[in-house]
Amino acid sequence: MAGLEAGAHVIEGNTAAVIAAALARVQVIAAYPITPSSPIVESLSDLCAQGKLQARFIPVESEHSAMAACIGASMTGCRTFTATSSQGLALMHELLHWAAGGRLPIVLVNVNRALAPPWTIFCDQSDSFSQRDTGWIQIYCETAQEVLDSILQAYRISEKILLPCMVNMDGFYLSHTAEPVEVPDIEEADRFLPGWEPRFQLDVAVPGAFGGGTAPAPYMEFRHQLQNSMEQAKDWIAEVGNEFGRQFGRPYGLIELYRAEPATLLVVISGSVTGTAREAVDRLRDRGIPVGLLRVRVLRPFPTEEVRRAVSGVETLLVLDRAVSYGQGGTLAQELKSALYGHHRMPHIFSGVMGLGGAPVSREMIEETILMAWEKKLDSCRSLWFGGTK
Amino acid sequence: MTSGIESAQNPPLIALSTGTMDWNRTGTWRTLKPIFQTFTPSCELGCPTGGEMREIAGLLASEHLREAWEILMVNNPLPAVCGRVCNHPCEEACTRKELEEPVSLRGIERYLGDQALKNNWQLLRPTRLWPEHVAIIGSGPAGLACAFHLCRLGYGVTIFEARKAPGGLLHYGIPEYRLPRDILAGEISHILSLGIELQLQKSLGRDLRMQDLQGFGAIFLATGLNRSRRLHIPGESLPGILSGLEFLDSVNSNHRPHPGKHVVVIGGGNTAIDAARSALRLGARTQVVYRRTRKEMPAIREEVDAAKSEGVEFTFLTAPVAIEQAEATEDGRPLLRLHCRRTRFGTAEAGSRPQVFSIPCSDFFIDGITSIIAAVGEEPNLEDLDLRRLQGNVGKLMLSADQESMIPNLFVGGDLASGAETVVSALASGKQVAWAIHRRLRDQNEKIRTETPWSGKINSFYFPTVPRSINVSLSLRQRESSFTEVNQGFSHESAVQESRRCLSCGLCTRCEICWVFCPDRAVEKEKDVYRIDYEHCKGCGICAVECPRGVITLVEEHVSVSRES
Repeated sequence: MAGLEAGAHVIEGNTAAVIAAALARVQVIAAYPITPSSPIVESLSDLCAQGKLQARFIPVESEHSAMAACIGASMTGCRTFTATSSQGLALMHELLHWAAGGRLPIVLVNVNRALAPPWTIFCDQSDSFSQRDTGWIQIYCETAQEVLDSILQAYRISEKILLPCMVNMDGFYLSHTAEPVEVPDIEEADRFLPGWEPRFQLDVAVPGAFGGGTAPAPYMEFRHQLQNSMEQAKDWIAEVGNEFGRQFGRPYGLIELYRAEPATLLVVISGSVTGTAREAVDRLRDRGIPVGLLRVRVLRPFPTEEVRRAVSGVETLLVLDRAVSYGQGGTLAQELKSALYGHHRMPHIFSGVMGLGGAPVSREMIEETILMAWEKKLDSCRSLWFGGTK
Repeated sequence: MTSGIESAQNPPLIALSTGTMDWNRTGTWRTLKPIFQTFTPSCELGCPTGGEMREIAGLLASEHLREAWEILMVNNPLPAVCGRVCNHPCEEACTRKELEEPVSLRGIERYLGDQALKNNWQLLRPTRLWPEHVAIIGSGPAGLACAFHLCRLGYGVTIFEARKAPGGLLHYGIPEYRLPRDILAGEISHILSLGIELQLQKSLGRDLRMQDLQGFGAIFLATGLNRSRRLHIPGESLPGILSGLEFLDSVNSNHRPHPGKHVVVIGGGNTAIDAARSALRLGARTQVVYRRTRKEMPAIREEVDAAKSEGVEFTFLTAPVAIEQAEATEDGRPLLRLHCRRTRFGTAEAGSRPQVFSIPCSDFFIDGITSIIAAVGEEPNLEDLDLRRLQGNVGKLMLSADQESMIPNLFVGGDLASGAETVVSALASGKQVAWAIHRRLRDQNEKIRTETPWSGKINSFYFPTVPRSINVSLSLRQRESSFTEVNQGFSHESAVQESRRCLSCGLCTRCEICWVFCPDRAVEKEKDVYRIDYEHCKGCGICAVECPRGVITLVEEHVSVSRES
């Protein structure tokens, strides 16, 4: 398989995910194929069958079973991996809660795809955004390189915090687009990500069952710990991102700022469309308009503190969403509003919804919307929908 | 972050239970309740004698041959005979028919019966418990069965037989190629050896009158149907025309008859087929004329198949109209000509066979016949028995449900009571009367066994198909002129193999499926039985659905709810 060797390769996001799983030396993979994540599952299955990956591949009959199998495997102390998309992720929903409540460091690659109906295989982020309350750490990638890097980091993060991690990449824009990716050497990867030593695991020598019936008061205690762990995860994600940077030259944080200092308006965005927004920002900067960009890389735990620091002195935020909470508006915009409410210098927050179900988003569209926000011509109560057939 | 929750010192990250969940009485959630039951399987329900073939197959499967035979003998004292000549209603009812061919229960029965004869297995001679002596008139299957069961119940028994040898129809009605004489004699002598007196050549009405039997506690009349029905067509008294029973009787005696080169048998029952196959063995071209079709023939299926493969010709949907004497002769005997007419079916009434009508102007003739054998059924000869007073005004015997006649303590059974039936129904009738006499003489409310009929539901997933074992048969060539037994039965290996095809319907075989599937671990395996732990069974019903043999039934849970005011 091309790209397994260390060095630079031109590969697709899905391939980057496969290489990362192999570099992470995952021990159990249970997955069910669904477009656009199928190539990940198929390649890993091939690697297992060929003996190139010393992992147990568990074929299952649904994504629900895939996650159930991952939960079982992870409970025994195995490093566990799966990949899915859209309806598949939705079908896992119940067990996503279980994996988080069970404190299992499973890593899931979700290739973002819109939900049906109408049927589509193309990208938006509503599949994973709508899973934000399940207790999973969520990372959104901009490039195939970031996919590879984030999966390695995800195991470091999860195995310490003991919460599962979902690494998201945009369907087709990342999953099926080839771009240059630096594949680390396996020894380097091992140095960054040693084997996992679980703090608790199923053991036939010490019979017991995890997650059984609990009285109301202890239940709340367990759930409070989960919340605390999410809070602690913020520092650890930053630390792991820095460490990764020191070792591989590519540091990562919870958010990323672009041309933000100083900026009067910040575009807030996530995923692969960030690249297009960067171009729009560059063009407007060239025209002397002080705009910058804030990319949300980690949605859960939400980096409230970093965001608050970043927007100090910013007058206007334009949050561009590829996901909607129907009856409210852009999901990321809500997150921003929630994080900034009560901030001593609360900026205007405008919301734009774009690119649902793979609808094209051009630099011009983003520029135009930024200008409308700049002139405060947007409704602060409603998301502006742009793109589509109009 | 501020928090109202006080954390424990070293809180675990996840709830860990190291104990069991037994404290959680999930049984209280149940609305349906699974129960284990042992059901009477369909084969046993199908057998008139109630032969416990499931248990017998089970014992044979584990090579407990003698134990299997002893259970066989509980209901049927003639297994080697029945294993050859029975029309096997058990096999017709066998559940394996849903998957493939039924288990060859008759073959198993025969194998065990033969083993008993070969190894001279004997039942213990029963102790005489009661003063009464019972007279049994007729030593056919009904009489023998009644004698056997009464003897085992502790009564004295004397059998009066009109002819020179015991066995009734088994002896003079069934040819040797189907039932060898030594087998019949062996089983009868075993029954008699239990302490039963047999008086031969004592015919009721001829050598014996009813008054002579007054000293007996009860009388069982089982003289069978010994008179052949007439054809009621012109020419039926011509020479060369025989009844089926007459013909078989002479075949079964030592001086074999000479029916000539072309024999026509009229009828479709076992007598007709036995006569046809016998005539064939005596060198005749043999033709069976029957007014219905192959499907309606009352004869045992395998026997008809064998007749066909041996070369017996069949002319269906044909009724005889008249018999004429031809001018031509053969060996000095005039040849016969059978005038026939085609038939057709009328509409059938529910539950009965369709009526048959002859088609006008469809006449044809069968020429060159040397003998015609009329085998259209048999009827009782009550005149000779001087028992016309037992008949009601419709000409049928008036009997109670226990087969007791209007004369107290005079019981009637077998074919005499029921019309032409089968060997197994005669055996069942004898058994039933034996118990009826016991109840009558002891005045006991002797318990009659109640059956819990099985639902017939198997989980076929658990039963791979296994082909039915094959009996060894005499070659067609060997059968041409010989009365040697055609069906050579099972080898030991095939008998055991065949018994393992039994699904054990309605009986828990402790196969563990319910135990494996129960999500609440509420099936408890004890030494001999499985039990449901109702403290924890939620009544999900998975066990009942999975059970291969339909042993688990879901019944509604009755809960009494007390409501506090």
